[in-house]
Amino acid sequence: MNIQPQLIQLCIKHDRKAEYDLYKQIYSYLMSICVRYSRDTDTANESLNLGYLKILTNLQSYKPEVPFKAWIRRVMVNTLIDEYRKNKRQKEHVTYVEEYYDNSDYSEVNEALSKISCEQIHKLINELPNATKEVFNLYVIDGYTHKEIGGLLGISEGTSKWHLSEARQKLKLKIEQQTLSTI
Amino acid sequence: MSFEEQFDKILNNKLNESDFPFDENNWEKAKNLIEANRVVPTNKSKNLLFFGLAFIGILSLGVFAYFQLNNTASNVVVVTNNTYNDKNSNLQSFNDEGKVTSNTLVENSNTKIINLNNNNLKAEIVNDKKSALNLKQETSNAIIENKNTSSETNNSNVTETNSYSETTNSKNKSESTNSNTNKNTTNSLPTNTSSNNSQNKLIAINSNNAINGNRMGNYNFKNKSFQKNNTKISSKINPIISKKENNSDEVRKDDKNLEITSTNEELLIYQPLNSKGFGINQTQLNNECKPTNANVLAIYDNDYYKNTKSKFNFLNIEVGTTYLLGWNSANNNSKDAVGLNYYAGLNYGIYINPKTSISAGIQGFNISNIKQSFYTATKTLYDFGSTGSFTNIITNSMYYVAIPIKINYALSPISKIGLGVNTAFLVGGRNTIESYNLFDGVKTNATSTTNKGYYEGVNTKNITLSALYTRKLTKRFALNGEFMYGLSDVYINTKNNVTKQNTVGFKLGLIITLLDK
Repeated sequence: MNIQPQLIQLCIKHDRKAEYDLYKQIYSYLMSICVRYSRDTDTANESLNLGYLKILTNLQSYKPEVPFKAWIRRVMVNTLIDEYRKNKRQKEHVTYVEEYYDNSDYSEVNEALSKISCEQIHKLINELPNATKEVFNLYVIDGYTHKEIGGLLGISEGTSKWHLSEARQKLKLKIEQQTLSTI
Repeated sequence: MSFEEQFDKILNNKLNESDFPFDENNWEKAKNLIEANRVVPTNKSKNLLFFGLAFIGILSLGVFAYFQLNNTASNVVVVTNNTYNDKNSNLQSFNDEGKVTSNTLVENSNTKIINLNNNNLKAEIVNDKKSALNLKQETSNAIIENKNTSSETNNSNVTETNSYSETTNSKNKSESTNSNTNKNTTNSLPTNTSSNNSQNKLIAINSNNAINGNRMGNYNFKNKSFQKNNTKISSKINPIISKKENNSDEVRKDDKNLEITSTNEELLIYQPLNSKGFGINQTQLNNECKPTNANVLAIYDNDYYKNTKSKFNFLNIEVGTTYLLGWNSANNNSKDAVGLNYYAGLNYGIYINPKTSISAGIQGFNISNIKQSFYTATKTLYDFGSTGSFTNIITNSMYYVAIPIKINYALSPISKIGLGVNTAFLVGGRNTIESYNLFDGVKTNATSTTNKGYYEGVNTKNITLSALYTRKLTKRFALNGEFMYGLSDVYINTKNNVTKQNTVGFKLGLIITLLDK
């Protein structure tokens, strides 16, 4: 992804062609983020459009010294978290865990994981419970810390760790099952 | 790197490898979303423009209506349900507040005198043939003869509103001649309403409009259609003919006829010009003097409160004067503190129901004209003679801040009565301290100083009860009359002061309504 500053300037001026070009260039990247957070493709598309609108709206506040990719990722993730908050009907039943130690053996799982496709991983992630999926995405993929995740999702740091552990365990289990089924 | 971190890394890498082909349809959705969001500011600006224009429009209408209503209210004279006979007839008209103003038509043969009190309007119908306005009734067999003469005022600085007209009901022809000899004379000629038929209902049209210079307006019309059914009537007023008289008059003839129609059997309102009436030509007069069928009486009927939207609160400023009856002085039997004082305040009230309201506010007033000392100190030294040292303190004025609480009951839309209690706190005073020596009956070293503040011995609280009557003058202004009776003693009773000095008097004030809705 190589976004030209001129394109950004044109988008600031509401040039429709430039907006289209930008959308086209960042679509795949944004979609990869949205798919992880959304239950299905349609929802992911809606979220993407909302995120893109937010990007366009805040494009004036974008500072060139920050990588554009990182900036749009942050905006997109924030949009997705906002959506998650809006759609959060009821509080997830979570168990507060101060310390979580996972002694599972990942050696076999990692080997199996390297063999499965990206789409399959997306599918597996989407099967996770919402809160767990959010924490997993934020921590593993988007690089947020548990403290940041706690702040974003309104949960404690320990709960975030618990969700992460839960996500790993479930994914591990599913990967193992999938590997066994393919054999 | 732990297995967990490795797991995460593999997942991360796998997910980042993912490629999603561009979806053109999704762009269409995104485009619509962008457009929808960008329309908002435009809509906002349009809405702002719309509301701004609407606000200006409403404001303009409000101002227009305000002046229109003021003009209408101050000038409309309505006579309803009068049975008019040639010999014994009474006219009823309403002044600007809807009060019947005892307009009696006295008839002596062919001479009638009508006095209509409407602001500056005095209309008299006398047997004078100097000026007249012709009125022909197309639909009537009766022809009224009106001969109106405007009066003159020689003093150019004085505007006098006089109207003279004569109505003769029994004649079958009419002549009108208007004359005016002074440019500064304001002539306001009322409409004389008459009817041959005793069953006809009368419309009194009172033109409160003076025509400056040589112009004068006089309208008579007779509503002949007040029959059992609502037959449309048509009355035509012949042009006003002003004959040049003396040196300053000129002949004017307006060939416009004013046609007045009405289908309302009960009421026909004649809406004349503004109350000042200066600088209005006959065309304007003709155009503006149009009757309306609005049922003005509905404003004053029993359903007034049902028909109007109930109000919630009001805020007003009250300024006025208080006349205190005074009290018996401590030293002798004369009255003290008699005279005028002033007050001003702010009241806020809420309506308990459409007729009853309760208000509280803050008010400042004074009690002045106090001449008697409330404190006297004497010291007598006896040497070769007696030397007396005297000190008198007179609190000439006292200043209070009060909290008036009133409950009002509306007798009508324009008048209300109420009761109130006024709790006042003394905040200051103006005192005169007199001191002198008396040596063998000779007064020496007399000094008199003044200071501010108040002394011990003056009651710092003053509670008064009041009964009030308020009469609305206009939408914004009302006149308030109040009788007040003080419960508190102005001076604390001592051995030397055992009389009660309570504030009894009357208040007369102007209430300026700031908010009433």
